[in-house]
Amino acid sequence: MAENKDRCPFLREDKVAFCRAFPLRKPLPFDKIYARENLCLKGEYLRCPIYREKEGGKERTPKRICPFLEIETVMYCDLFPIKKMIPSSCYKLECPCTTERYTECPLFLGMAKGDLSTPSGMEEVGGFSLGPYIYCEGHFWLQEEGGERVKMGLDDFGQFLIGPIKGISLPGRGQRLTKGHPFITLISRSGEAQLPAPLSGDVVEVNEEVERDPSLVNFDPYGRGWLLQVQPEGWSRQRGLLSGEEAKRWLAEEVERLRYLLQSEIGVTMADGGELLRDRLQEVGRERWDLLVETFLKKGGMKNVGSP
Amino acid sequence: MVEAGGYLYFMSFEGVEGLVDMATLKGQVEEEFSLPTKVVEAEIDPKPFFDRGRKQYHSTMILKEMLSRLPPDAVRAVGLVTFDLFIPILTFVFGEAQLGGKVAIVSLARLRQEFYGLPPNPTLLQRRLIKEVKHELGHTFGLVHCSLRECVMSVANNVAAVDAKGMSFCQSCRELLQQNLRR
Ligand code: SF4
Ligand code: SF4
Ligand SMILES: [Zn+2]
Ligand SMILES: [Zn+2]
Repeated sequence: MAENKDRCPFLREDKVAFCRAFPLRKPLPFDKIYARENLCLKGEYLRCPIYREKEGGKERTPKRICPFLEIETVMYCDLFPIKKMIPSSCYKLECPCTTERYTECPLFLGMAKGDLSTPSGMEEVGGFSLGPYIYCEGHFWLQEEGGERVKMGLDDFGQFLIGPIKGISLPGRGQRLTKGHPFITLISRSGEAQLPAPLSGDVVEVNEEVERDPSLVNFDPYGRGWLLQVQPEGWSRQRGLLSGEEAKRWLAEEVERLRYLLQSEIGVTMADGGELLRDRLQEVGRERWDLLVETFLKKGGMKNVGSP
Repeated sequence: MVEAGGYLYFMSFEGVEGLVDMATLKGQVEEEFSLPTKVVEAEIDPKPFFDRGRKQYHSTMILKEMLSRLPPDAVRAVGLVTFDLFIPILTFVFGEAQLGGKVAIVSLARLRQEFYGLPPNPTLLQRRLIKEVKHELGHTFGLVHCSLRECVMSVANNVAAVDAKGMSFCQSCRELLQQNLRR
């Protein structure tokens, strides 16, 4: 029944765009290049600073599409707990995923035996990745750094809910955060969300890379998509934080709740299997999106934690 | 809720009987739900519910169709199909059920090892099917998802999670089930 014998059925594909003029080979989410302010597709690429730096402003081709834009298919493993994109051109012959040898892959074998043990560190809960972090209300993760600092970012569930992020505004270094008060604004295709701070403290570091490219929050929420470093106030007394098994249970409940809320549109049925489709969430409409953001990212789903 | 003299129907779609041991499935379900079962051929043409873009069948639509063709003595009905199912917001579904309702559906497509390019394993398929049938029936008796991994009502979004969960209900799900069965 498998469609192709030379290809692991857990290998998934997605399209992303690359800018060949950019010094780093960084994928742009496919839908992002269609955003109104994007220049690459519209003959306005002549105004693009990256293009100008390369070509000095002279028109190289009469085309509307920037000659440096390249669209590529990337792949990722559906069994691997973290969605890590791999450009298909990077695939080497030894990689098992695209040869008939995928049946020897340890992840694949784990599934075939009916017992999937996830690699240490990250794991998957309902299609979302969960790491060894401290999770807090409104889907932010925290990580203790040295010197009483904590690093903070939006978790995988949070970035999924917001959708492809087009704009971000972060507080500046030295600014004071008050728990429960709005501290960042995220703009996605579905709308604009101001999210409340999960803790009080002073901002000591801001991820400038994310300010330049907010899509990093979507692509790498626990890595390069981190947001701030904060010197929290009374760190040891912070309440309502979750980690380990407790975080796992909490996230599982959140996913259930989301699936349920999305589904109630179709009727009172329970559907089992699969993963949420990202583009479907974009279709829910502004009002419903606002409601989801309100439900999950503003109040946080912390009230039910610990209930059986 | 459950009238005396009613049956739990298996509505078997084309190709199902050749793949699974219906007698064992019947036995296990009868024991778990204390209801007599009947197997019938589903007289439903699934073609109108096929989505050409997704190459899958719309699960909820088939459920609706099943509801409209329910035999009068059916307390519950479980559709069994060999093709892959979906609902619009999910990449695929193993099955779907009306919460506290009468109908449920389970697909064999992704329970078969062949789907993943592995040699067939009828025993494993049978175990997976029994879990999914019990799970979806659990929903029709008002059970929601359970956080205990060993419980058959725990969530499974991929086949590995189907394998990881247990064959039967945990203590508290069983108690709820018993209550709802008596109602
Ligand atoms: S306009 Fe061209 S040079 Fe500028 S970012 Fe897009 S692809 Fe790169
Ligand atoms: S890593 Fe293994 S399981 Fe994942 S896609 Fe590749 S072969 Fe398949
Ligand atoms: Zn279920
Ligand atoms: Zn249970």
